[in-house]
Amino acid sequence: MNTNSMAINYDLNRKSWFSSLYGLREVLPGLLAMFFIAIFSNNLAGVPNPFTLENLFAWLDGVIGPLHHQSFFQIMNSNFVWNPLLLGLILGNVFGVPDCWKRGLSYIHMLMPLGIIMLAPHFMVGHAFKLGAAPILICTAFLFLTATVTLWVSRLLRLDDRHGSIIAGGLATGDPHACAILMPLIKAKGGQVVHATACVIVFGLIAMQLLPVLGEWVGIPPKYLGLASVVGVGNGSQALYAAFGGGYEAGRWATWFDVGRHVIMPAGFLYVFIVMFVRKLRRRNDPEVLATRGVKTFPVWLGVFVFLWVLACLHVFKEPAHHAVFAMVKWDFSLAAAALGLSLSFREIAGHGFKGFAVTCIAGLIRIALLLAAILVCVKTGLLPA
Amino acid sequence: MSRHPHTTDEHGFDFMANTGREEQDRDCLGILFALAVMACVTVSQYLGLL
Amino acid sequence: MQHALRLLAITLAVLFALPGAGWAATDPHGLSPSADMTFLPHLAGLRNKTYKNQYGQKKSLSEAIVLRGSEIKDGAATVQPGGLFYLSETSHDARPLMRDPFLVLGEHACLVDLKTAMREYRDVALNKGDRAPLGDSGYRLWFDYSTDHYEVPYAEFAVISPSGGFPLEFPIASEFPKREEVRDIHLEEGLNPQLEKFYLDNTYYFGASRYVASKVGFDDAEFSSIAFPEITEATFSLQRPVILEVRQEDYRFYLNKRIYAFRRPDGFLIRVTNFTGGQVLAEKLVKPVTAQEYKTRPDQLDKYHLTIPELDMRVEIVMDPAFLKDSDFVPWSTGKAHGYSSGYFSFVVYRDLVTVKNGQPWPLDKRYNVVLEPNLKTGMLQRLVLENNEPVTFDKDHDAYAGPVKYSDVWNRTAFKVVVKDLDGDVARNIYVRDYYGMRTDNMVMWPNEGKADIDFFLGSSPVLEPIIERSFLTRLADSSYGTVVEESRFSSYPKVISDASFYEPDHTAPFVPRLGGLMRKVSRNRNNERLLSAEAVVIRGSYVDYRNGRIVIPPAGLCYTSRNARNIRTLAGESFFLLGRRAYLTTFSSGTFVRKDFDLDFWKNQPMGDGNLMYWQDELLGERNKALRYTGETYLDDRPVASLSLMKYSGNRWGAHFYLAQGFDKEKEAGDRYFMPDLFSEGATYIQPEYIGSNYVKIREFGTPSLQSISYTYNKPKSLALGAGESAGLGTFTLRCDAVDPQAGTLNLALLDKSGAVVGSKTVGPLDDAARRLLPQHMETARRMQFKVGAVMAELDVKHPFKDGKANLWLYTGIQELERDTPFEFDPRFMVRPDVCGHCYQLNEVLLDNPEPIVLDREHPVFEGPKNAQGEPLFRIVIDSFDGEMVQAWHIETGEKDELQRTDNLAFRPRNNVDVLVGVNGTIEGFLRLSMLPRLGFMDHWRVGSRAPHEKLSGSVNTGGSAHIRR
Repeated sequence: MNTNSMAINYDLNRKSWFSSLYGLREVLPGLLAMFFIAIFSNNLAGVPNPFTLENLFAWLDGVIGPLHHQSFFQIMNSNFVWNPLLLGLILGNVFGVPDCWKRGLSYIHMLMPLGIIMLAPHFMVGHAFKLGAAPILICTAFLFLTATVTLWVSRLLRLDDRHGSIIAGGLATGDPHACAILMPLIKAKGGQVVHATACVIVFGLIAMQLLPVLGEWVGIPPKYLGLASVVGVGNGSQALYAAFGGGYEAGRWATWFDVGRHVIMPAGFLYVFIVMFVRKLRRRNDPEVLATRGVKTFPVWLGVFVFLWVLACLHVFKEPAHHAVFAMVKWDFSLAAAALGLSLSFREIAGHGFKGFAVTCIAGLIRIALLLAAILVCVKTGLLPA
Repeated sequence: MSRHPHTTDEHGFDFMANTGREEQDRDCLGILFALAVMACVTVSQYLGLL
Repeated sequence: MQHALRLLAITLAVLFALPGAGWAATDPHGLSPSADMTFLPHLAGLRNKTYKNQYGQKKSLSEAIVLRGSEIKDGAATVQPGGLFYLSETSHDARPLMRDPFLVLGEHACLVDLKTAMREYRDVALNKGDRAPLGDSGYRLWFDYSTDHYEVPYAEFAVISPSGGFPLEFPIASEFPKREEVRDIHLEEGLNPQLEKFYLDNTYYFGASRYVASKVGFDDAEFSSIAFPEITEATFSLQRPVILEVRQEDYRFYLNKRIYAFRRPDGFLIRVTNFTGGQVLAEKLVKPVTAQEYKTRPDQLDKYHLTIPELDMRVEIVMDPAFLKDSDFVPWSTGKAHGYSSGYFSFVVYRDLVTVKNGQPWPLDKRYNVVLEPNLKTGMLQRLVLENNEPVTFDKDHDAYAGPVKYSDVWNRTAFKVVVKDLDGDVARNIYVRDYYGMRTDNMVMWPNEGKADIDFFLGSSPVLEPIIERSFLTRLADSSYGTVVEESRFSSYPKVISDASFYEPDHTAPFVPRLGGLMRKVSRNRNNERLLSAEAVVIRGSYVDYRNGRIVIPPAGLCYTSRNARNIRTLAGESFFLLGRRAYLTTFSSGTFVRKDFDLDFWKNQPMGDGNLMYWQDELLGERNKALRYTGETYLDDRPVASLSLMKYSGNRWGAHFYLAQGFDKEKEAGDRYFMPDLFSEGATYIQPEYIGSNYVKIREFGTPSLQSISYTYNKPKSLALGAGESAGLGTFTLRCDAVDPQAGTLNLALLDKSGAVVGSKTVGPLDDAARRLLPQHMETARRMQFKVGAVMAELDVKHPFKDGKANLWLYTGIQELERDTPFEFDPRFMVRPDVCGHCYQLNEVLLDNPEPIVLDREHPVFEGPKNAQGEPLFRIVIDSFDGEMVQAWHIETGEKDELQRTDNLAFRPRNNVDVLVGVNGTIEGFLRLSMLPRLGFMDHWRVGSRAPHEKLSGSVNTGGSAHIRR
């Protein structure tokens, strides 16, 4: 029986939306698998389990010692998505995935939109206003610029467009989370997402070494080296590593400017999605166009996300609600990432080869070069006051 | 379509496949639950429970 | 610029450390690490825990690793014996028979036994600034500073433990009326005239300690006796005890032994036998343990336990509550020393006993000595210190030195390792410590390129840090190498909201801005050539974001301008202070003694807001906006309640040290009391005669403290003038005429004439005789006699050099203005005048201006102007730059106008939910900083590396974020 016939089966037996939840007996094993992977990966709200991958990494961080004040696994972007994904990946590859789990694991498709919608209060654009016009402009311009350049480079190198889009999203937003968020939008394969995430992180490792050296070479003042790190390196601790590599002042200002990159992240993945979606609409019959192939219309849940994002910007969700919602987001993505990890084999991830990494590097380097030039011009012209 | 060992079960159900009506239903449920959670939390906040 | 500031900070730190420059090679005991030592608040292997003892009393435990007195020379760093130590501390103390918890190198242990004694040192002499060693005990006596009343000296001292900790600085004098004389004071309720006498005893009693001064001078002092307790031996149990219900006349099995209990008239005969009961291993009559504290007395202790060292067991009989045996999860927590009233008798069998002796090597590691530091008040264990007993050298071949070996359930291993790498000439560039989990600290050299000239550090959040860095904490917090440190606040739906900020201190996370152009801080000299540091500061306290209405509120008394000198400000000496950026000269003051009689003061036990939003309704106010009395701490000494009272200033600072009061102790040796605390308090002009001191409230018969009603000042510098009989001189728009001078009697007759020649006023100034000199300069009435003030002008006799060649030496003041308590400020009625008084001497201590109405800042009103001077120019402006309705995202304070605009850094660099701030440095700010020192320094490390503030403060801190040993 193939998937198509399964889909037909579903349509035949469907009664309501809730049919996609299947029966409790069918899904329970899979849900439990996700649950246990999640609670052994992250310190989640309401679970006092100390034996988590997060805590193991924290201990190893202590043993390794801080690198430019950042802990090693933070630099590696270990977070609530990465940890369960890794644990799932290891479990799936070592022990395989029992058939009885699979119905439950399919909840990932419900959990992804659920989690992404709940992320909306996280991005309060108003919080960036304190930075002033020029830094906001630089953050925004480079978000779109990077996405565009990455998509262009990936086409040039003939990379699978789904893979390219995911990289574009991750690189432009400066957050490997965005790769996972783009997955259901682009209809990318899990292997591509993980590979793209790895590319973004590994390139970040290179960029964070490179940027302070380049910054000093071209003579960027420490304050704006902080801005350069946030926009040019991103990835949370990697940006801080780069900035603190340039000195304390740069590091301090990186924590200040980071909000500018952070609040416009949704614009990054929305942009990539819309570009690819429009491209697909234009070239409906082009077999090379795979990105957003399964997406017939603009997804409703993305509309809901945008709507809630607007509400968030209008300050409907106050601080405590936002924190409570974010605790739920962690739960949600922990479960979803566990399922994603279980679905992949090592071979699948490695199979995407070197090309993706090349695209990341080229696009990333172009971004750094343009960024340093832009900041230098702004500083010289006084647009960025010293 | 070949059977993916990690994702496809003995009945040919692929948990990573997400298409058609099933996808729409899952999306709808996602939206429903998300809105439910956020409404609940936000209402709690406005009622001073948070 | 950054480097210049950093250099400045380092230079200042070195200057501060100068008095101890010769210490490095000397005995480091009782000394602090260098002023520029690194403080890191956290390492996983150093624990901060709160455990309860068997009576449910909470003990905050903390650990630290300290290195002091190190030197680097030619690529090698050396540390003297006693320079590297591990320290474990408990809040208050740990005593036997209570199952008091204690951390021993990371392990949760119980203290089970102590052997105590007393130490006494006779005829100790020292000079001001000295930290004189007391024999070879490792203790030191510190002469911090001296000052005067009626030009007679009194001074502050501290007895410093080998670790560097001390509980308080005590004031003492040898020339003033004694404490007991306070009993003769009987004043009316309300405002009374100034007391002539200044009360300060030559003996300071502090529970088990007693310090007797024979001579206290300005620059040197002698003590006839310094006596304090000593702990010679301590026994810890490293396991939870085994609890077995007692079966009378029967036995219980304990592993392969039987423990019998036979009822006797005065206790239980406990018999430990082998498994079959055939062989008696030990036998003793043991009384059940209950909570009465006298049972820990050396002559009593032996009656309450059967200890069999060769079997590694110690048996006590305790009463456990009926419903719950042997639990750390005792559901209640009580300040009461007495236990529950019904329960079962149980054997408590302690095992894994480790006995350590003061001054002897640590059992697992001969390289380290044990130092047992008692609580100087109770004589019970407060700190366990393990210090190196041989010199340690780090060089390129030896870059690590292992700490003591710890006991562990898994395997006994070194508790930590100090690593010093990259020694380069006279500096080190890489220092870190690795704990027994293998986890390490960040590099403790903050600026590796510059290196660090010693390897001193303090690692861990132990409250003992606070006395240790007493001399350097202000420089440390004012270090501007990291810019203005701003701790983020967490949004709360229930912010701390108060209706009036009087007597409140600012938020403990309020940013501290040590320097802002426009706020003055300068040294001047008075007529006696004494150095006076005057400084202005601005404090915002009690502010909050009213997020429901999208506004920021500063409550009444929330915005304070404060101006203060390094000591009180006196008349008759031309002393000046700053008032709104200009130097003002104090001319007169009027103060009195505010007395309250027969009132009850509740113990601050029932703190209504567990979330730290304290409400001070238990305060007893002493005069309107003058001072408040608070009963903040309560302990027992041999079951007699000891109250510690705090006198709070209007600014929210505490005045002096706590007042310890207890009744019923007899200081005579024959009485056999281990402890003594006086049942009277007197310090200068502040005194307490209690009626009853209880554990829940104190009934006070009479309490008196100074209160300042008004002062007058002028912005015009006084001019000196010698005037003989019959001579005249201009004084403002008037003419001052001297009618007679009598140097023998010390008098002169002055008259003031207006332009038409009519006499406006006349006065016989003086007499300046010996009787008057004995009361100068502080006694108001006497001081007034030396002054001739009419309206806004004044002539004052120079009391140091009054007459020369038949002429009187005068000082002339013009343009005098009045500042009266609780009246609107003359130039800006939006602010009220609140002069604050010195509790010792009735002099002006501080000028405060604060807002009587709440200040509201929102989108429409983002700027508020501070108090304005005569020209209508505000001293400063509060500017909200970015506020989203919930959190302040950017705001600053600025001074000056367009060209000379000076502004602080963004005071919400990390978002904040209030606008509390400390700007400038004076005594008021220093007091606030002292109360929040440990959490502030802890946060500075997070700020340095760009990480977020920890959710819970790491320290033995109370929930207000302050420090355990300084209760307010």
